[in-house]
Amino acid sequence: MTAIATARASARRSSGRRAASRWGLTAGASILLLILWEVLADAWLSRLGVLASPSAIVRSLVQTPELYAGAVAATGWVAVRGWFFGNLAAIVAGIVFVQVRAIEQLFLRLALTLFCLPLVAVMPLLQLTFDPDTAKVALAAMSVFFTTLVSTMLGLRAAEGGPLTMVRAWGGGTGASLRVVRLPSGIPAMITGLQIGAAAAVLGAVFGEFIGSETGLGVLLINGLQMLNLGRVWSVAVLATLMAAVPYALFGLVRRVVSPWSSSISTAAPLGSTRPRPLPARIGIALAWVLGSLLVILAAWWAYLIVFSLSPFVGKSPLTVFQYLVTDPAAAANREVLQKALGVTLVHAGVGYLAGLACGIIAAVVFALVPVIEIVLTPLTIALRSVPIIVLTPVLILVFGRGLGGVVAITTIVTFFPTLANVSTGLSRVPADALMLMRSYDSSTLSTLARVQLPYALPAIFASARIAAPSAVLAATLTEWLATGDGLGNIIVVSRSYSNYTQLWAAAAILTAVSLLFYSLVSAAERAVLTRFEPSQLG
Amino acid sequence: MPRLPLRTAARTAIAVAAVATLGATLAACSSSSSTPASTTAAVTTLNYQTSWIPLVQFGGSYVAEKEGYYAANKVKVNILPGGPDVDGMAALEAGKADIAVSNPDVVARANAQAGGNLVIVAAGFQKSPLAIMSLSTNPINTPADMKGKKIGVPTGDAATNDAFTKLNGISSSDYTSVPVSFDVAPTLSGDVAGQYVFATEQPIAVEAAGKTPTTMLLADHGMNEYAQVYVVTKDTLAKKRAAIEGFLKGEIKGWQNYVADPTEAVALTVNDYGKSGGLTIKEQTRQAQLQMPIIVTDTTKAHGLLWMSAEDIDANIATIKALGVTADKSLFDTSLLEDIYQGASSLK
Repeated sequence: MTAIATARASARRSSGRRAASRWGLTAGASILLLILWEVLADAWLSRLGVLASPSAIVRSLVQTPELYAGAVAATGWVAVRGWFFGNLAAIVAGIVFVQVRAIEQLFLRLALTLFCLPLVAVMPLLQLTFDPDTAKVALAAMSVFFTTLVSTMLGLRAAEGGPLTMVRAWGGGTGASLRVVRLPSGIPAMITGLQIGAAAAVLGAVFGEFIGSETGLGVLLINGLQMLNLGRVWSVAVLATLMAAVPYALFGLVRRVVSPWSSSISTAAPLGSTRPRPLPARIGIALAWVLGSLLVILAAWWAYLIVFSLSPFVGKSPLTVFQYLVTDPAAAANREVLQKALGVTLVHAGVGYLAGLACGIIAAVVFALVPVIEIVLTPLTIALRSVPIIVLTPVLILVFGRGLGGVVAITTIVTFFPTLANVSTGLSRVPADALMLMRSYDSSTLSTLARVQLPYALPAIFASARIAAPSAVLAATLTEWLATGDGLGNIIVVSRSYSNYTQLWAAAAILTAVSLLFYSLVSAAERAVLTRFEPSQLG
Repeated sequence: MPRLPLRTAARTAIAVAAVATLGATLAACSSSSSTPASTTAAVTTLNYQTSWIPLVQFGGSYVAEKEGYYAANKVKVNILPGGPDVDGMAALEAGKADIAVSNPDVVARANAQAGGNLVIVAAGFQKSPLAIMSLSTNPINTPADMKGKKIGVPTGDAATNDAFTKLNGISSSDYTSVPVSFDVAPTLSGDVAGQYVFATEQPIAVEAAGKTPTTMLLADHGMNEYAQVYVVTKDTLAKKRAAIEGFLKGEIKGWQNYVADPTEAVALTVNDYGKSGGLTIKEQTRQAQLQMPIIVTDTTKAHGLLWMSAEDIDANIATIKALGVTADKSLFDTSLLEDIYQGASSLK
């Protein structure tokens, strides 16, 4: 014990010394990046109308500070409320889902459906359903809900078997397990959800202003883009990044404060799981749950139309969509159009998915191995996630083109951030005694990574892979709308400009179904792997 | 920059006059509210859904509200800001708005879905400002110049582009079309040779970037269509006809003020309605000037602003049909305008 304590103390001292030089390095690297940005923008990109230089941004911010302050306050207030309510709902839902498996089985797919709905389809609905302010808050809340839900469930299920067995041995029920074991051990992952949510809430609030607003960052963005006032556009981008980065850093600190106790819990084999049922029975039960949750989704769809008495001009019932796709005389033609577009979208989403996931995992591993890179690049990664994609698109198209390169770039940017954040948390949640063991064997950094850290991070990697599945589909439609002009993303925008809401709902339903299927496939792979490595995550 | 620079003295005089009028209006309001209302008709509140965030594009409406032109006609108007993702037709159908502005082909398409419930009652822009903008170094002056080039088409304008090229004998293999947004970066960066814009708006951005824009109006090549038309549902027209008429009277008075001198409209846009949008007097004045020739035409000089003549309606229907959308004269209702003007060419 004393040996371990001494080792920890000396590690802490040397980490203090390292921190100082690390900050120096970070500052140096950041200044270099800024200079590179300034030179590139002045010499080339500003003149092409795609990127403002740091000095132009500062000039714009200094010239009209009150304009920006007002916009940040307006958008920030929407984002904060959306962030709060979205996360609150997600954490409550996460706890309920983990405690009551039947509810999870029935309602998780509904939550996923809300996440899968394309923004272009959701915006007019929100505009018609709520007053303008509530609509914006709802959009921000919807943007954060699902990632926090997944993070929360991941965290609650990360509770180790030993303590859980102990609670049960002392006569504690599921409530006691939740209070004493699951909640404390789930906090780091929940905080990661809150961190990721900050960027999503800001983006949601900015986009909410696209359905009509007089004030806010989104309004400045629209005017800036229209007049191609690059200083204005990129000032908005910088402010949106700061609004996401400050809470990200704050909650990172909070997590570091609470992490020591949760990551130093020693691990032990969990309670033996119940005897597996025979395969046909398992498949039957799974199918029943899928069918049940499909009914829940359809019921929610219908209930939404009735509760908000949505005008039939915009609100189409499942029956109308069914007729459009199956029984209508033109159904075959309708299907053909959508099928062709779906094929295109699947290629975009598939390629983007693999690229985004790979980038996220590789970045997390590199960040874990070389902390300096993490400190230097974290602001950049947050920026990529919080800058509205409409601002980045011209730069990306210029660099990557409008073909598959551009698709991969945009999809990667949209999907890789939650992966990076979740996997980073997973890598750092390795029990202290496992690391100590590896150190006592004089294991190399790489070997520790391969033998201990990555296996421990597997649940986080799979949770990311699950979140990334529907995100990639959404990102692909976004790319199609902004850059390539084909696929289901294009169909949805076109059907909106044609007021063809039946086609819009049909396309959205197909997209959602594909996302659900995609998600289920990743889940199945996850279960197969985690049964071997991390049974506690299986609930 | 401005073609008609106002001398400072003149500008001050206008500002003083505006303030004085405003003061008088306020005084009138306060005095009338303190005495018991002797008039019988109550004030009706209308929601007016604009299509974009506050710009001088709606300058006449801002003048109408501030100068009390709506109030004088017994309507209180909530001018709702729009944006890229606002669907005004859906807002009308859902009862969220009483009046919305849009383009005739959009209204016709919505009508195909809504069972012909929407009707156009006045035309703000007599000529569509939709144009293909290129740089003067590689200009697109005629549809034939599009051949062999890459053209940026916002997704919402894809159908218009199809009809426009077909009308002008350009086949889809003659050029490449790619989606763009409402910023002109694709043209400036050389990603595309030209892109669809509003001739009244984005060319200003290109001028500001130190380049010379070339704009080709679609209206000059066979695509004759109104823009910013005022749309209501037939139910609203039946139930609130007097209020809609009052609204249009206020609009006409506001736009008459704008046409006489857009200074007040620009000032209201920049300093009041769009004050959080970071607009500048310079840009909005330029936009106000560019808008003038599509608001004032020979038709409006003869019949009044917002007028819809029989020939223009026919031209609109022909264009809408060219877009592959069914439409007939019932899409337009000129009776309100006829009642308002009574054969005159302006409102007193």
